[in-house]
Amino acid sequence: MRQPWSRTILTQILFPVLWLLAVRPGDACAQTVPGSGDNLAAGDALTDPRNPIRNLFGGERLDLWSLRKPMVAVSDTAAASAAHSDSSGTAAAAVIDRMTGERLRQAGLTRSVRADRRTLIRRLSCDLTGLPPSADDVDAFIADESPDAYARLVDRLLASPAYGERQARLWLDVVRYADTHGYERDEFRPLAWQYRDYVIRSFNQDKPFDQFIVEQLAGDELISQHRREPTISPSLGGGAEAAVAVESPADDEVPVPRTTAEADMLIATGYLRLGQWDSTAAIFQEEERLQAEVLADLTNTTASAFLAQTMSCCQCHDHKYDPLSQADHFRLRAFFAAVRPNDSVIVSLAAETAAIEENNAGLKTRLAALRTEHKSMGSNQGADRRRRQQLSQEIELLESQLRKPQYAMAAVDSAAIAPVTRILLQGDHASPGEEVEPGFPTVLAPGPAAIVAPRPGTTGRRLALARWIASAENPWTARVLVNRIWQQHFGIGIVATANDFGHSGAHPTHPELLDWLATSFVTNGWSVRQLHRGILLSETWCQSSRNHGPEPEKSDPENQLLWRQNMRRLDAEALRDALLSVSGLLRPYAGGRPLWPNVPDELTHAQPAILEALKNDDGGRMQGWYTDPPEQTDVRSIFLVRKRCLPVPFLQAFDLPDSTVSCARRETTVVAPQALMLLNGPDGIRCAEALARRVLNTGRADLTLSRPSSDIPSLRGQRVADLFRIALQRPPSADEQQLALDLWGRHEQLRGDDVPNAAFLAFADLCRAVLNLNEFAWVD
Amino acid sequence: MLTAHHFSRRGLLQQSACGLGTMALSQLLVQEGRGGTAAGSRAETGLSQRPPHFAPRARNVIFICMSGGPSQLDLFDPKPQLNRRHGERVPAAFLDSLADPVIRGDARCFGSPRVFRHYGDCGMQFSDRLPHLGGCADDLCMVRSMFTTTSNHDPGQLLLQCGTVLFGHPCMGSWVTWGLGSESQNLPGFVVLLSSSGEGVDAGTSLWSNGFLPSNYRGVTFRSQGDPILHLSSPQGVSPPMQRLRLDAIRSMNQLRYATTGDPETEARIRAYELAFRMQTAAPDLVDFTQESEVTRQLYGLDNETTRPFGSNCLLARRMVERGVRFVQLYHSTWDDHSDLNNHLKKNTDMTDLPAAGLIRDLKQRGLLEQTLVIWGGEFGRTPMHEIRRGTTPGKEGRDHHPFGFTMLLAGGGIKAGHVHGRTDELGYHAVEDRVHVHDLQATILHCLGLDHTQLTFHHHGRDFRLTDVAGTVIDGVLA
Repeated sequence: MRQPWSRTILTQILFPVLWLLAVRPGDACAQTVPGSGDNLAAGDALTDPRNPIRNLFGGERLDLWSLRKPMVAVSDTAAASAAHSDSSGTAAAAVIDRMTGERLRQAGLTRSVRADRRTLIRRLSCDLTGLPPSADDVDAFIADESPDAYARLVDRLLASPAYGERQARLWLDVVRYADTHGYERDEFRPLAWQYRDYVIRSFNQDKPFDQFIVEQLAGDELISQHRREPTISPSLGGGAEAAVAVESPADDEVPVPRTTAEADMLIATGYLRLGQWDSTAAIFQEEERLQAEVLADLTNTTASAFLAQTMSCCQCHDHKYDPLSQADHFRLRAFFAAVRPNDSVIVSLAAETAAIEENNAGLKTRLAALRTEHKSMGSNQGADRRRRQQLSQEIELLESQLRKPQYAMAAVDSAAIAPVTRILLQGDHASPGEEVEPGFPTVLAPGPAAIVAPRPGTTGRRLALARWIASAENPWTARVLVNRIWQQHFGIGIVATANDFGHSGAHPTHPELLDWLATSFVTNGWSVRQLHRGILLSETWCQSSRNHGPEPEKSDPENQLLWRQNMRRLDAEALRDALLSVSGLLRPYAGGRPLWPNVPDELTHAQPAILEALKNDDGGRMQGWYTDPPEQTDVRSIFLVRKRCLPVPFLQAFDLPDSTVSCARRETTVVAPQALMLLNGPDGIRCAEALARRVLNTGRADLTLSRPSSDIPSLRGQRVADLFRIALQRPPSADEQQLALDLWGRHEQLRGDDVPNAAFLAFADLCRAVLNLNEFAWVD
Repeated sequence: MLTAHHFSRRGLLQQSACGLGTMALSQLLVQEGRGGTAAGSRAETGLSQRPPHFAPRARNVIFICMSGGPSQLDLFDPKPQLNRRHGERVPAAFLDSLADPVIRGDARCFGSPRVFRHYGDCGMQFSDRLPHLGGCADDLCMVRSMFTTTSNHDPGQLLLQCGTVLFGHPCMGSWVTWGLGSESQNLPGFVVLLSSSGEGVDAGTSLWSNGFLPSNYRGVTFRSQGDPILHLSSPQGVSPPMQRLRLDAIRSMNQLRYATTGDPETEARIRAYELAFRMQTAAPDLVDFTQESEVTRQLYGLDNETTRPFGSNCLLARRMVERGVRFVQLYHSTWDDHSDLNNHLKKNTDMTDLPAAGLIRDLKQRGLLEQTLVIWGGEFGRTPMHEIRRGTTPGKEGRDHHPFGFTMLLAGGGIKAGHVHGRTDELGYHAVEDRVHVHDLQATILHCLGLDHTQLTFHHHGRDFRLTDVAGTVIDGVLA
């Protein structure tokens, strides 16, 4: 029985104790840390007794591993620099193996044997690209006897576009990406996809992760060129299409990108817009509440995603376990005080914009003339009428030729001076308390942050925050990221609670390894690809997931010391992608607007907001479900629409997380509705039939399967072998072959003689059985 | 062929190594056919019945989750003093110990415009919004002294269902089905019915999560229209014998694979497929209401558009209990009436009062009420003051979240009928007499099912966990 030990480990141990010790809500509220002023000189709480956090918690709570900067022994420093100069990753792999091996030795355990090649390529491919390898790739890898065959495979997969698509999916979980606003109306965000594609591009470019951080938090503040002009009003989180109509009276400083890299920096600020947005707030005159909620959510997500700090726990009072005060939540929140959604940021480059303007200028002149004539037309009779019709048609034609530049779902500061941030008593936006300046967590840096505006019209606050987060001085950021990557490759991180490095989170199982990985990650220029390489080349990763004897299982049942690799189920997207991939249905898609797969009416009709849209009663707010033709939607799941109130049912059945808060790690449940989805659901059936056709068309000429012939047994045996090769990338065993042939034959009988294509249908039934095997959904 | 006990060996070892509680161990032995009970098909469901700690008063639970926090002051708990003080400041004495964010000291008393009536022989009071539930007064136990320790929806709902405000813990339905198993071989032991009002439930799927318990104890959501579960029907051309054959083949191939990999998930996956197959047969019958009489249809309000959605779910709950489903969570949302309380309250009670009362009457007339525990209530109540968060447009006032005193209804197996338990102060501010914390309610629910809440534990990462955390006392006063 699988132990669902996905959640916090130490929470379970510490929680009751701490709960008993902890003050009740409200008791500690009077003694918050002042947000600014007197603490300029004080240092971090670990070294400086004047740090206010020491006072606040009576010197307690500081024995927290994650507060200390990553420590690396001298010998390991040498190893780190060796790893730095060795871009193949073998030096890093050696360090990983030495450190995990040391722990195993201490516990009297040994590592498993290296997994066989078929297992390795399948695991590697699923880990790095989220897709199973092709049968040919598996054969080629098994046949490749050169010593660097495996290393080359790692490099090839890291260089494939599918790598970015996989890596982006993992990041989108962390930042709670969705294509809709959420809340009651859950409107579509027509431009959110640009952020998704930006993330894919960033990973495929191996953009240094520190830069990736800065771009998302403050990409707009990196751009020096800007224009000042009346802006198109933000449709509050929506996109340009929804916004064009309304002009805002305010003048905004809008950054103008000069290069595609700069355009990406603007698109990256979509990060600041990903949270839910309650568009009904205005109806209730609750903009203030909404703004408070948006800022709280952005603060909490930023702390979780980059720092693994639970800032949501100190929104209403000082933190219950960690050395964070309520003021710390608001000090962090203050970095975002000036940020506003902006849909008038153009990400088309100057040349393109100019071309568009030129194109439009001519059209507009002609349009103006035609419109004037149209207006001046008198009677509605005879020739006039015909001319009128002609004019209307011409106007329509010209209007359709007008082009729009590409806008981004961006966010910029609304002014150079941010509104004052106050601690909200009990977290309530209607009870403002003491004013705070932007500042990093007091325990590390008690003073206000040093902030320089990089250009007019913006505060520079987010840039200051981003630079601090992305700095090697910060004890959290690099550890948090390497831990996420480790989790990707082992199913669980060195710290099991990837979003909580606090007292109620888990302790690292391999602290020195975590620190070494974090340190060398920074030394290697924050290269995620290089980090992958080191881990994937290690024997620790390459070992088999099988049990070897009862001993390790007894002394370390949860495999914390990594005496074997962990088996993992494909996550929802990878499972759907694998079905499409082996059945040959997967369509390439280069990115762009999300695609809307067909979902049963009963689901769309169960949502009042979607019903409104179906009746055209949603006032053009795009609350609906806009199904694309089925042949277009067989793309990788990352390109499917992520609608907050209606997740794609197949993905939801396989534990798609809720997209309202940062998801640290996917759950894996095993429940009956999943079986129904794979056995009876339309996707399962379609894929099985496509797979059947694919197998039957593979290789040899397609002989009539239903014709009685002495050849049939061996032919059918070949089909079964082909099926296993394509679906599972291995030959069937003799027993499996027999089981498969039996099922095929008996299904054919049951389908009946009168069904003309019974043999094919029965073979498709067999294909469906194979796609339902554990082995298909699990990675060894 | 590998046997079921072979599959579980690993799980058994794993759990023993962690120091399994005796209760859970005996369950496991029973489950594996080593405790004297035949294994057979039961072991395959993973939800086979297990003995309670002592003689149970109830066998099933229907928890009508009124999420959002229904207003006890406008439904169950009349406060003449509050009405008299309408518009006045709340006396300072009530605010002294108050540290809660959502209740502000400068709020004014907000009397209830509702008219209350005495119902039944017991004379229990209900407001004019709940005439039908009022009609069941002699079968109900009204707990007026509930309190909880958190005042927002997600944590409040989590505390009520999972005993903690943290995500990742098992909910009551999972605990109960884990502790007792399920009588149903063909339906999940723990089912969730979501109201089709379209409003989500704040804490979402965590409310029916298995947490750290095995994943087959997670609540399965059913719908009352169409396929009760998505893709329940076999594809066209696939007969039950064919589906059976295919499942057998999948199972055999999985077992072959297991012999080489030892994948511990194999067993759970096989169970899931077996249950899926049996559900395919059982569930269509479950949701087929055509055999229900006209009288029953009226009882649940199936022929009225307002009551039909909730009524269908109430009827479905009865049919599930009849078929041995152990625990049903039945949601209606939302009662979160920060503004326009009067209108919203009418809307919610119009939708739910008749069907909820119909369910109780129906269970009673079928002799099911004595073995079924029915609970009606939300994560907290609402403030005696009007809400000032959204302004105070006359006639559009609302009430804010209120954790210090609210009301829940209990009925059925083991519960004292026609009884009012506990009391709030004269403004309805604090529960002051026979106070019942959410953990006490949980302890009592388990008690009715024959489970000792301190003994129903699961060892997880070095500690024995239980539904009631480190608290909870069985409320003798509500027991029959």
